[in-house]
Amino acid sequence: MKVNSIQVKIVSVIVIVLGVSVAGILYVSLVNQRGNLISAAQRTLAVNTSMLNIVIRNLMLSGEAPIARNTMDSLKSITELEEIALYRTDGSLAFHDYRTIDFVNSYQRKYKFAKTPRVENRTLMDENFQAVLETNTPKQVILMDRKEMEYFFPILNYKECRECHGEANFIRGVAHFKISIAGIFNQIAEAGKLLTAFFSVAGLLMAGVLVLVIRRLIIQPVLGIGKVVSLVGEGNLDVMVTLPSRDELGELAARINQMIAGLKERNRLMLENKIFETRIEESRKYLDNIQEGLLLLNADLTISEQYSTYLPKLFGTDDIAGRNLIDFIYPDKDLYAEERKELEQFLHLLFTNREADMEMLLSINPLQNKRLTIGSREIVIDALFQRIMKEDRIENVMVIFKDMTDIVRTREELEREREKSQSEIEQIAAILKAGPETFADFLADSNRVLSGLESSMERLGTREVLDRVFRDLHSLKGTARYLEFKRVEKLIHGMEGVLAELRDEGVPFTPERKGKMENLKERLSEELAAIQALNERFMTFARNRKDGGEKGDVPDREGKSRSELDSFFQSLPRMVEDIAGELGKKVSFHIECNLSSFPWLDNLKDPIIHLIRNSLDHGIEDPFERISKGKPEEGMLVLKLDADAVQYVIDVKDDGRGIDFGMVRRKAMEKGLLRPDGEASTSELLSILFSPAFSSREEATDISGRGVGLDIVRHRIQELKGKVSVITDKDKGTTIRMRIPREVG
Amino acid sequence: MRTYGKKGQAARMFSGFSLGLLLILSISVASCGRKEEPVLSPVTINEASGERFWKRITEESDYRQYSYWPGHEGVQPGQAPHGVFHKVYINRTLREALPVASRVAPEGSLIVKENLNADRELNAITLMAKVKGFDPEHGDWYWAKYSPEGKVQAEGKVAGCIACHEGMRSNDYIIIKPLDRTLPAR
Repeated sequence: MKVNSIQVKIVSVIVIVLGVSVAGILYVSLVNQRGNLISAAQRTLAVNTSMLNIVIRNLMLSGEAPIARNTMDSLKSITELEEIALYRTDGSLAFHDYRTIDFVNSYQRKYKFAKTPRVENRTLMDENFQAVLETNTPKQVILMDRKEMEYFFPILNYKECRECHGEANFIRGVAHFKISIAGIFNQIAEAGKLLTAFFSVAGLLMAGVLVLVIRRLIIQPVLGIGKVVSLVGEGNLDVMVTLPSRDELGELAARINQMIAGLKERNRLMLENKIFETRIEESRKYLDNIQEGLLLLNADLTISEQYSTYLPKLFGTDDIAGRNLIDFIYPDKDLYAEERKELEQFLHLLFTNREADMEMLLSINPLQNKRLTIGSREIVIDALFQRIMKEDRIENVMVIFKDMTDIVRTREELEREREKSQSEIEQIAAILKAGPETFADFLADSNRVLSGLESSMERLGTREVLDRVFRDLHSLKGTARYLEFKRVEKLIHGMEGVLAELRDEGVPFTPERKGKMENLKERLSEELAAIQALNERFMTFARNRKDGGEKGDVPDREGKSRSELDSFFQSLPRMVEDIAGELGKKVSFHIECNLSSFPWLDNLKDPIIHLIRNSLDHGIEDPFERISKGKPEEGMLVLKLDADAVQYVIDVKDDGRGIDFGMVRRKAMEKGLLRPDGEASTSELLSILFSPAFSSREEATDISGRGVGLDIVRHRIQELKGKVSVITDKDKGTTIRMRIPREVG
Repeated sequence: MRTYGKKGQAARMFSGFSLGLLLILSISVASCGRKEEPVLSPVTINEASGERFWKRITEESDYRQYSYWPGHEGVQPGQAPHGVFHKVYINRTLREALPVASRVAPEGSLIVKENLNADRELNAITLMAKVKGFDPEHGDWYWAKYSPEGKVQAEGKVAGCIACHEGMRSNDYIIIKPLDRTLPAR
C-alpha cells in the first residue's frame, strides 16, 4: 500500500478522530468522575463533621467533657481519618492543659469538672485555620498534590455553650479533619485504565469496521474505477466497471461505462473507416492500374462513380460517371439505332433474366470484338459482362473493356502479310506455270477494268453502267481464278457482292457501300501492282533466259501458238478437279482439240471457263443423284474445239441434268423478267437464261450464281460475231456450242 | 456604499433600522448577566413581615442579583443550623456601606442566605433585614426563614436565630465576616 494511498489516509483520519475523541471522552469522564467522587467525599466529610460537631457539643453540653475527650481519642483509631483533632482558637490542641477546665469551673458553679489526664500539646499553624477563625464558618481544602482533603470546622459558642464557656469567643475551637483521597485517585486511575482499554478496543474495532465499510463503499469502487480507467488509457476498451450500487459512485461507474462504450464505438467506427479507406485505396489501386476499362453499371444502365483510370483513356473522354452506357458507347442515336437497341436488350436481359445463365447470355454479347467509332477514332473493344449480386438481387453489372484495337490491327496486319506472302507464292507459282506473258494480258485487262470502274464509280446507280461493270468484274474474276490468283478472286467477289446488293435489292449506293467498294478496289490495285512487279522481274528473268536460248514463245497474233493452247488446256483439268472437288462431284474431263492454233483463245478463255463452271455447278449432279438416276457416279465433261472452213466450233458438253426450263420460268417470274402468266417460248427462256441478271442459283457462290456467266458468253460471242446454241435434254446433259467465223471482217 | 433614488432611500432606512436593532440587542445581551440591582427604600417597621420581605427579595428585586459578601463568594461550607453549604448575598445598601468602621450595618441592609444541603441543593432561605426601630435590643434585625418556595417558616424576632447570632453581637450579629474588614481588591 502506498503511503499516499487513500486507504492510509482514511485509516489515519479515522484513527486520529477516534483517538482524539476517545481521549477526550476519557479525560472528560475521568475528570468528571474524580470531581464527582471528590464532591462526594467532601459531602460525606461535611456531613460527618456536622454529626461529630453535634455529638461533641451534646457531650459537652451534658457535661461529659472527658467523654468528649475520649471520643476524640477513639476517633483517631479510624484509619480512614488521617488526622482528627480539636484545636483551641490559639492553635493549641484542646485538652492539653487545664486552662479551659479552670475557666469553666470558675465561671460557673453548677458543675465541677475533674482534672482528667491531659494530651500532649501540638500547635496548628495553618492559613485555613486562620481563615476559619475569621469567617466563623467551616473551611474545606483539597490538597490535590498530596491527595488529601482537610476540613476545618469551627465549634461555635452557641447559646447553650455560653452558659459554661462564657460570652467571650464566638468560636470555642476548631475541629480538624484530614482524610486521604488517594483512593479516589487510584479508583480513577483504575477506571481510567479500564476505560482506556475498553475504549481503545472499541475504538480499534470501530476503526476497523469503518475502514472495512469505507473500503467496501468507497475505496474499492474508486480503485475499481481507477483500474478500469487506466486499462482504458492503455487502450483496452473491453473492460467495464461493475458497480451495482445506485449511489454517486454507481452513477460515476455507469457514466464511465457509457464513456467506454462510446470510445469503443468511436474506435470501431474509426477502424471501420480506416478499413474502408484502405479498401477504397486498394480498389483505387486496382482501378488505377489495370490495363482494362472497368466500370460498374447500375440497374438504370447508368455508369457508377468508380471506374478504372484506363477507361477514359480508352474511350478518350472523362465524361463517364452518371452517363447511360448505351449513350456512352453509341452517342449517335440515329446512325446506330439498331446497335443501341441490341445493346439495350442485352443489358436488360443481364439485369432481369434470372433463369438464363451467364454463359448463354455472353454468347449474345453484342460487344464482342466490336469495332466502335468514338469521336474520330476507331477502336476495337471486347466487353465482358459480369453480374454483381447482392443477396438475391442483381445489383450491378460489371463491364470490362479490353482494348483489342492493337491486337486486331496486328492480327489484320499479319493476316494481310500472310495473305500477301501467300499471294506472292501463288503468283510466283502461277507465273512459273503460265509464263509471264500471260500475266501481262491479265494485268492489262484488270487495269482496264479498274480504270473503267473508277470512272463509273459515281454512276453505279445506273442500270447499264452497273451491268457492264458487273460483267467486267465477273469475267476478270474468272480469269483470276483460272490463273489461281485467289486473293484477286476474293477481292473481286467482294466487289461483286456490293454490286449485287445494288442490282438485286435496289438499295442506295450509300457512302458506306461506296467506301467498301473503294476499299476493295484499293486493295485490288495493290494486289495487281504486286503481281505486276513480280511479273516484271520474271519478265527480266525470262528475257535473260531467253537470251540463253530456250523456249521463249513470242506472242504472235496470227496463230496463237500451240503452246499457248497447250498451257490453257493444261490448266483446265486442274481447275475442273478443284471445282468438282469443291462441289463434291465426281467428274471425268477431257479435251478434244484438233486445232493447232486458235486466234480467239484470249477472247474465249472466259466464256469457256464460265461454261465449264456452269456445267459443273448446275449441270452435273452429285454422285448420289447420278446413281439414283441410274447414271454412272462419275459425270462426264468434254471441251471440244474444232474448225471447219468457215468457222471454229467450240463445245462444252456435259451429261448432267440438263437445263430445267420449268425452274428458269419460275425464276424469271420471280425476278420479274417474265409476266406472271408465264407465256414464253423456249427460245425466249433461253434468252432470259443468258441475260445478265438471271441466275438460277439461289445464292452467289464463287463459282457461279451471279447470273453473269452466260451473259458474258453471249457478249463475247457477239463481239466475235459468233453464235451460241444450247442443246439440252433433261437428265441427259447439256451442250453449249459456240460458233465463231474464221475471218472477222 | 452610496445609494440614490427611491431604491436608495428604502435601503438606507432598512440599514438604519437594522443597525439600531443590533445596538439594542447587544446592550441587552451585555447587561443580561448584570441586571442592575434597583435602589429601593428600606422596608419600614410597619411594613415589615416575612411575606413583605419575600416580596422584596423576589419580586421587587431578585436577591440572586445581589452581590455575594465580598471575600465569601459562591458556595461556601456552612454549619448547623443553616446547612452543610451556603451562599450569602448582601444587598446594595449593605454592600456599598462596606467596610463599616463602626461595625454597624446601615438601615435597609438585607442579608440573604441560601441554605444548601450536602448536595448543594436549596433547603431554605434565611434572611436578616435591618429595620429601624424593630429590635433595638438585638441590632434592629428582622429575622426570617423561608422554604425554597417562599413559604414563611419563621419571621420577626426569631429566638433561635438571635440566640446563636448573639455571640457575634460585637459584629452586629454578623458571623461570617467582620464588618470593618477591608474588602479584598477587586
